[in-house]
Order: sequence, then structure tokens, then C-alpha cells
Amino acid sequence: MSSSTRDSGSPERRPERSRTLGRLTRSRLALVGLAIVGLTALVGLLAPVFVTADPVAMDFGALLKGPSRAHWLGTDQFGRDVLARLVWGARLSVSIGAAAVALALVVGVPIGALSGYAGGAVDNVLMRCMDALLAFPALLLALGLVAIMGPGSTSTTLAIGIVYMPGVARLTRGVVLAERPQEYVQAAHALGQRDRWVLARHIMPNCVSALLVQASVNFANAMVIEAGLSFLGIGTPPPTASWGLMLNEARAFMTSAKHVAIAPGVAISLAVLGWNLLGDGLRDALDPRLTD
Amino acid sequence: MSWLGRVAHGDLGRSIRAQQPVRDLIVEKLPATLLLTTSAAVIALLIAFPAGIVAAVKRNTIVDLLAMVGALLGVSIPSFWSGIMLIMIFALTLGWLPAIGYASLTTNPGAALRYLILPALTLGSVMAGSVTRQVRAQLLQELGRDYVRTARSKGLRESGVVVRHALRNSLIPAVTVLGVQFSVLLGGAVITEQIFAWPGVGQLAVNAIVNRDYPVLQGVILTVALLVTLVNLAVDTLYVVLDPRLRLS
Repeated sequence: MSSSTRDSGSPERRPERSRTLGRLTRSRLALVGLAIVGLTALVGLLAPVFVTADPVAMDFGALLKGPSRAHWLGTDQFGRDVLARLVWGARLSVSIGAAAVALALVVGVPIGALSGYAGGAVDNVLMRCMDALLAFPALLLALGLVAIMGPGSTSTTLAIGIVYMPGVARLTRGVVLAERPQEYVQAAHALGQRDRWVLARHIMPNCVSALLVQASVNFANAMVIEAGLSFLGIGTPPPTASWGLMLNEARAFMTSAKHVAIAPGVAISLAVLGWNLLGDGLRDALDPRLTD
Repeated sequence: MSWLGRVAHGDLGRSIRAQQPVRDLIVEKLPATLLLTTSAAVIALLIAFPAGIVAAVKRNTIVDLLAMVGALLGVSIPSFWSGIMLIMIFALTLGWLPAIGYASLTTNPGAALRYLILPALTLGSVMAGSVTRQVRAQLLQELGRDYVRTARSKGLRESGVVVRHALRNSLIPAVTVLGVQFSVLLGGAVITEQIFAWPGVGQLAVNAIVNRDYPVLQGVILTVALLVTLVNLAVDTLYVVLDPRLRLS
């Protein structure tokens, strides 16, 4: 990495940023990913604008109906509008994903930075705690945490955030460890700058690229875990619209009403695909050496 | 601390609902989960290695594009949807395979295999996607190295260059992914077992949550974490087998 990218405040950093942005926008797959992610977020944020139908309103005169002018994606076993539930499900999925990723970053980054910078006993204690959490499969750990906290969107968000926090801490620690012996850090120390300032002002900006890629991958995984927990019946409780819950309920009508199972499955797969494509694009743009 | 002390002696407590030792419940259900996860891993590797190698060798062709799209879909489609779709197609529409159920491999191997195919394919598809991408990326990196050029200039056949030289060096990162993916497989087994009514520890864990049987949940999570740790240890040992330079250092 050039010295210009290390010094976060220097004007030379701007051309590097525009080069990265250029690489990102040249990748067609990354743009497709960005479009899908943007569309999912937009649909989620503006859910009341996109659909006027109430996602929990039941209509017992229209149970398991196929697509029609009144219900574009049909209705479910309670006569609820599938499109409305899909759009409100996007809102839930995006908001839980964003909150969980933010939580993982807010807790994980300081732990990793402290661990990498302080070293010694602090590093040992913090990293062994993180390793212990990493030994559990993500879904199973989230399952255990939700079981302790009780089902609901808040507990699901907290559980997913805790699950991805150790990975963020480990990544941050790795970058801080790599940057700490660099000359620009020694120079900052020689100028009499405090440890906290050196860490925050000089070292941490170099973690941003790696954390951005990690955050995009975590976002995709967080959406899958949220839907997975709801699918198992221990995430978002009914009647709230959640893609996982919709799929769980659709299992009973696989032969009579296929549309009920297809719509939420396509939605979640597309959303995850979008985040994966964006993650790949970001990784290639931020570290061109990885591009084949 | 007293719980930890008992765990160290193999006592995971008693199930509140079944009134049985948790260890016995886990020992009863674990073989089904291990059968499912190892079968899923075998299916994933059988798909991923040929697909990754062909994609790297035929880089930037339609074959590469198809392999990568397939891998990306594998990574992006969650198992709880692919499982439902597989049941819809192969069980309910075509009627080729049973939708749900389980048979013991020792008492009825034929039926066991029929019951195993759909859940193993569901669980293995995510791993297949990840490993395909990893194998392709690593192999491409190795195929660009000087020693590959030397091997080619010596007149070695392309298949020999790829399989004997480049592939072996690209195995270490791929094996690392296998270790990580085993953890994902065990987590994913919870959902797959629920879809296909597979009587493994994943289903045991979900039932424990529903019944608030916390000693069972605690026992399952601890057992799975132990399994993940053991697999990671095995992966570390495998590095030394794959790369003799690590033995010297």
C-alpha cells in the first residue's frame, strides 16, 4: 500500500478513492449487485408507498388465490396479499440486516483495534473470547441467543450482531497488527501523538476497505440468518411479514399454491445475490491484486 | 463452574422434557446429523472440484461463465428455499424421491440413500458454491506462476500441469474453506433437518427451544462447537500433509 493511502488526511487519498470507485463502476456484476441492493433497500424504506394493501389484513373470501389484478402475486392461506407481505418483509430484512451489521461493527471494531494495538495479555484475553464465539456455527449460536432472549425482531438483531462481531474484531485486529510496525505509525509516535490519536487518525482508516467488504458479506449472511430463524419459527413472530416466516407457512401448501413459496424464496435469493455481487465487486475494486 | 465440571466428565445434564440424560439423546441423534453433513460435503466436493478446475482452465469461456453463475446461485440461494424447491420438483411433481423421512443406513441402505439424496443436495449446494469459487480463484493464481510456465515449456501435458502441479498448490486455501464450511454445514443442518424431518441434533435443538428444554439446547450447542474445533484441528493437520514445506518449518 502506498504512503498516500496510509495517510488518511492527505489530498493524494482522493485520486485513490476515485480509482477505487472507477474500478467498482467498471465491474458490470458489481453494478448489478448495487442495483439489486439499492432496489431492495428502496422497496424496504418506502414500503408504504409501494403497496397500499395491509400486509396483515386477512381476507377469508380469497384464500390461496393465484396472481390477479387485485393481488399481483396472489394471496396466502389467510387471504393476505403476498406482494404486500413481500415488500414489508424487505423492510424487516433490510432493517434487521443493517442494525445487526452496525452492531457487529460498533462492538467488534473497538475490540479488534484495542487487541491489535495493545497486544500482550489484553490481546490474548480478548482474542480467546472471540475464538470461543467463533467455534459455534453462526446459525446455531444465533438460535441459542434468541432462545435466551426470547423471539422477536430486537432479539434477532442482537443475536445476529453478536454472531458477526468476533469476525469483525479478528479482521480489525489483523489490519491493526499489520499497520502498527509501519514507519508512518512510528513517525506519528515520534511527533508525540497519543496512542488513541494514532490509532483513530492514522491506523483505523486503513481498516475501512477490509471492513467494507466484510460488512457487505455479513449483510447477506444476516439476511439469511434472520429468514432462517423466522423459518424455524423462533425469529420474527407472526403475523409480522418476514420472508422466512412466509416460506415456513408456505410449506403446507406446496402442491395447492406454489406461488406462496416461490415469491419469498426468489426475493431472499435475489437480495442475497445482490449483496454477494456487491461484496465481490468491492473486494476487487479495493484490492485489485485479487481480480483475476 | 459445577456445570462445567460435570461436562468435563461427560455429564451434560438431564432433559427437562424427555427426563433422559442429554448425552444419551445427543448420542442417539448425532449419527443422523453426521451422515447428512458428510454426505452433503461429499456431494459438494464432487461438484465443486471439477467445476472449479474446468472454470479455471477454460477461463473466460461460456463454461467458466456457467460454472460461476451456478456457484453464485449456490451461495445465494438459502437452503430453506432450495430444499422446498427440490421437494416440489423431485418429490411432489416427478415423484422420484421421498419428500421427507429417514431410514437407517445399516438396516435399510437402499431406502436410506433415497431419503438422503434431497437433504444432502440441499445442504451441500451452498458449500459447493463456495468451494467452486475458491478452487477456481486459487487455481487461476497458480496457473499464472513461473513454475507452471516451466512445466509447460518442458513439454508436460496440460492435464499433468494442472492436476499434478497447480492444483496441489491451490489445495491449501481450498482446504481452509472446507474447514470453515463444515461449521456452516452443521449450522445449516438445523434448517435442513427441519425441512426434511431428518431426526438429527439440529431437530433436537429446535425442539428443545420450542419446549424450553435448555439443558438439551446447551448440550447440542456445546457438542457442535466441539465437533467444529476437532474439524479445524484436522484441517490444520492436513496442511502439513498437503504442503511439505510446513513440515520443515
